[in-house]
Amino acid sequence: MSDERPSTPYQRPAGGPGQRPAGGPGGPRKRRPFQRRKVCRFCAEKNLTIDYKEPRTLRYFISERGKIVPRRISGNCAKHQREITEAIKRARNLALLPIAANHSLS
Amino acid sequence: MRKYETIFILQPELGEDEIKSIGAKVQEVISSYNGECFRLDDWGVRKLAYPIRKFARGRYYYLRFDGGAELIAELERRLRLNEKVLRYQSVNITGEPEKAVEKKAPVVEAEAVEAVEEAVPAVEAANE
Repeated sequence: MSDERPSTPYQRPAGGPGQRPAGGPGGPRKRRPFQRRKVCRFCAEKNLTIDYKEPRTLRYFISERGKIVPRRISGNCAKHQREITEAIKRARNLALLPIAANHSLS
Repeated sequence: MRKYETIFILQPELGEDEIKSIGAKVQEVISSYNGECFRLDDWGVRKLAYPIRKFARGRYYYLRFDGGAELIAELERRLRLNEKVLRYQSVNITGEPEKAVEKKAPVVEAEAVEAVEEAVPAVEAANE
């Protein structure tokens, strides 16, 4: 996930410090170490499909707790993240994916 | 005419004739509203990711049909009334590229496998 590659740094749009102050109030904004921008796997591979009927492929995009992994972690593009989100929610309705971590099977 | 796919989950321990009657009712609703049923697949009994009405497993059915708005309203009304049906979900797939629905083996979900040798028929028109 976090392999450092200082080549081809991802250029943030202008406005860097000042948007989303990370630390506490007043403190200087902590620069996170730069991580390589992941490329969206669905853009890269055209034959990967997003389908709510395939929980095995969707399982990659939910955390241990059953939460949907955000784009900044998974590296999806916006379009495919929307599709993933839709598919996960549909799969949850059909009990193909868990909604929360510990569903008590009493 | 719109294209729909509905997945509904039945209680796991049903007799053959009960399952048959539910299937027959579904077909009957579709035909009475001039719809067209393409397939009704039994995915078998699978483990549910979370219990629904105290059931830990359920029998999944996949239904693929064409029809209008009245048909889907009536079909869902019937599914709601039937207490053998734990859950149903219909998706309108009119605008989406048709892809082959592979027959699901009725197995309990294995852990996620990295997609290495999945024989997925790639019939994806690049609709970017």
